[in-house]
Amino acid sequence: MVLDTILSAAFISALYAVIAIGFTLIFGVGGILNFAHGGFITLGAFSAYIASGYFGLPIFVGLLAGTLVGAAIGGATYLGVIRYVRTRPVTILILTFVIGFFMMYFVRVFGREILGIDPLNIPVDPVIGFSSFANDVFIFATSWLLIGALFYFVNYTRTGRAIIAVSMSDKGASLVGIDSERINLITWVLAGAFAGYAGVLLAGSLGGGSWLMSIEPPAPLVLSFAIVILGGLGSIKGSVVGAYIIGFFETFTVTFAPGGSQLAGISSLVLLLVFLLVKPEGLFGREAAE
Amino acid sequence: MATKTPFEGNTKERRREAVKEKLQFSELALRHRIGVYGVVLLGLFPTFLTPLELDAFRPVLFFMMFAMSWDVVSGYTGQLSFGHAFFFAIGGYGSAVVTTQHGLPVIVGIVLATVVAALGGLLIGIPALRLEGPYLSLVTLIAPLLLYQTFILFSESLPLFAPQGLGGTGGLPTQPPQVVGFAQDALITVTGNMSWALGRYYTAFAAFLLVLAVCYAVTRSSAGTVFTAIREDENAVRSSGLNPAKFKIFAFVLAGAVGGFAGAMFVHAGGFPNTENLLGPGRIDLSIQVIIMAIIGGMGTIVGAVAGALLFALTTELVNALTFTIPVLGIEFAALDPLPTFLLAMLVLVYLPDGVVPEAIRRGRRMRARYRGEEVPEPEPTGGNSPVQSTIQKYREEINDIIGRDNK
Amino acid sequence: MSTDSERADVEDRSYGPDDGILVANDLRKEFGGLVAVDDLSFAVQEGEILGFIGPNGAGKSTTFNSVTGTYPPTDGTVYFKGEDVTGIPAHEMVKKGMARTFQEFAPLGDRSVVKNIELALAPDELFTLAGVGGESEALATEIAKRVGLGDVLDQTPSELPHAGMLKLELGRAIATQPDVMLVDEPFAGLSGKEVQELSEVMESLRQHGMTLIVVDHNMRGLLNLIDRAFVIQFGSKIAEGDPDEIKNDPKVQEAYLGGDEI
Repeated sequence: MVLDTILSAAFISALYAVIAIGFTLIFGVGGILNFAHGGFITLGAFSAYIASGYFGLPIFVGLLAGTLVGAAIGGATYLGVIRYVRTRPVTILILTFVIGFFMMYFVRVFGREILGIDPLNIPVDPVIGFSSFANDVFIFATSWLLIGALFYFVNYTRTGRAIIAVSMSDKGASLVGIDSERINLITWVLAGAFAGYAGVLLAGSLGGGSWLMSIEPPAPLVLSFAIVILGGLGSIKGSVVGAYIIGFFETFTVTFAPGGSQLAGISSLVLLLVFLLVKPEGLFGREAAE
Repeated sequence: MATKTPFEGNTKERRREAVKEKLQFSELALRHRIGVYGVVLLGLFPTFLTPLELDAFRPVLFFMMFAMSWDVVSGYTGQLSFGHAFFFAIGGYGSAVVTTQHGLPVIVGIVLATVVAALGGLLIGIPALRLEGPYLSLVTLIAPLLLYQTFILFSESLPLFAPQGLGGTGGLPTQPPQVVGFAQDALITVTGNMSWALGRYYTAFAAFLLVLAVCYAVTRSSAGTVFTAIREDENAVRSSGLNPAKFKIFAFVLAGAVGGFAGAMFVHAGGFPNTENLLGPGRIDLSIQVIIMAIIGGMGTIVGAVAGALLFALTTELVNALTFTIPVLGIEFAALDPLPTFLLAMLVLVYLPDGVVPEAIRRGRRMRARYRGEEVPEPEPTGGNSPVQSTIQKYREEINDIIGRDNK
Repeated sequence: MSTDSERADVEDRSYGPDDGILVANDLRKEFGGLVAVDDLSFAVQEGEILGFIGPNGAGKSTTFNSVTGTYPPTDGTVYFKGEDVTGIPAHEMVKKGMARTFQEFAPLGDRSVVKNIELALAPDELFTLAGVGGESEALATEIAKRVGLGDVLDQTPSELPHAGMLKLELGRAIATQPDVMLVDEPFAGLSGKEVQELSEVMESLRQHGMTLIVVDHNMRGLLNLIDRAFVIQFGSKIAEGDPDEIKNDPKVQEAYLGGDEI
């Protein structure tokens, strides 16, 4: 039982990490808390449904669709809205919420009115349907592949390193010829892609998506907050470590605590609260100035 | 004492005269007069709206109160609350539980709910002192989420406080005693449908007047100038011999009390105590809608919150009234609700950053000057940062602190 | 780093609460491993205009930040009007009668000059009728005129020239009715005429009973104004005396060699 739980937690934490990384990237590079992240996740799952559930294509196509749509929406959000208000962080904060809500309600309205499905139960198949264990391994493997690819990208390629530079200082980066507009766009596209991808896999492993999937248990949007706070806003390494801490905490609480299933949403919230009050910079975050 | 301010002559007398002068209607500036007309109009709605229409409009009054509750802390001190429905839900559920499960009178329920919500404000306000920008936003966001989970966790029973439970996702089953209602436990019992509808409406309207008066009084007082100074530069506040922490906490407590009061009145004036009404169908809807309303109307003005709530409601009404079919998609326009409203909100946020009310005042001044043949005033008659600009600067500094950035 | 023998002649006194209106004894402020203020002691006499001089980085601002409550000192004691006020927060110090201006001006950009000064007149109370009768506006206007801002009452700080911002800082500090006022680097960027104007304002404040401490690294404008001065370097006092003594002190001249002019 314990071994099962450990494996479960290890598998799902990888996915949580993928979700959180997108969120933390956008904050690190632009100082923006992107509440629309939940919208990307939901749209990813929704796209997978349309591709495979509605049009009947294999679920792998659905996965691809979700990722691409996520990437496209991420880029579109940046190009269409965010870059015009980059200097107004409060406006952006509200805007990302509005955009996120828009996306969620879009799925609800579109699903219900045009596709005729129940928006609370959007059928999305797991990628590996014959074995839930194999599906979990798939999730684990591909998530780590993505994380690894990102690490390589950020540390060993020019563009990736430029992302780190911009997250340190906009002006400094432009002084060495880095186009921060382009970097921001790339970051949003990446974040959208990661979120869309994770949305499909999450919906698949839960038996379906929902227009509320970003805030219904396991509430990936809220988990993202918890993970990046714990790991440190803006730190990729922190997101991975934080994801594992939260993932394990959640899984063990739900499995072993009395009335555990009820606590599904709460445990990470409580952990987040504690961290915010005690050590808001998280494990790898930069110290808040005095 | 170093900060004793020297007052000569009869201060009390002078103040009385000043207040009387300010309240003289004919002396009020045009924009204030318009505001008064607006409020009077709201009070006269029952003279030309049907009971059905009054019932449909009543929630808007509550949105106005909720938005004011947000503005008084976030618009004024710049401490952005992202989970403001926390206070509404405490107020609504609190009063409902007290009156239905403990059998206490409606007045007691409302007072208790307001007090508990004020304590909730304290609960948020104290940690808020140590948290900057995005961290504060996240903490305030968590509060209603935790509350929601609590409602589910203790849906059957919460010992001592709510013996019959908190109702889970469906909310509390029975509507609590009303201020004006048919049942015996109402504060004012009536018999006709018409009087009942009127009663409900005027209960909400009375609550609205009270909330408006309190918020207006505080924000236009000395405390109000300190609030905005905190948003602008806390060091300036400290070097003026004022304790910013005290005022920041007070702002949250006030917002909590006002929000809780509004929530409590909601369930006693026709509303039902459930999460959909008091937190929003998506759990955080109401918290975010309230922010949108206040910002669209113009944050840091109180009046803006009222206008924003009205605008938001009107837009939703309008969308729902457009039942023509959209060509390619084959569905009614109204079925797209709430997407068009959100889209409009996005446009206003991007293109009218200060909000509708300040923009309207500015345009109005220019038009009036042109009409009178006077010189058109400078774009900013008194110059300086608008509330939105100050809040943005403050937030940007906080973010830069956090991510260790070295540019402005 | 100062050696013991250099310090002996100016640091052998320890000061008690009644040695002056503002007294610091063995004040020490460390940031991590860095010692910014090194067991500094001084006493400010009531009614004097005291200069606090030192090259950039000498620890002047840190000293006064620790004294006025921006942050508490690592060690040492501060007495104000005989009372131990070590480490109390800034707004409390202001209430007790110790005001200061800031080198990096912090005006409120969202309101006019007169309203900026009015803030300093606001009582530290949540529920108050202050201001309703227009008294604070009248008083703020008075103060603004006194510091030379009478023509720009309704302008916002962003429209003021450098000298105007400084006057606003002064005005806000004066509004808190301090007994002691610390003026932080006031003469930077001012023309000769403006320096003269400012000195006159400060002298008149002293005539009205205020004690002034003027901090600066440039002694030019200062020496005509002050009665007495301390000179610090590397967080320690290296000289003390009247302007002539200071000007001719070899240690002071050495500290400024290659740095700012004396």
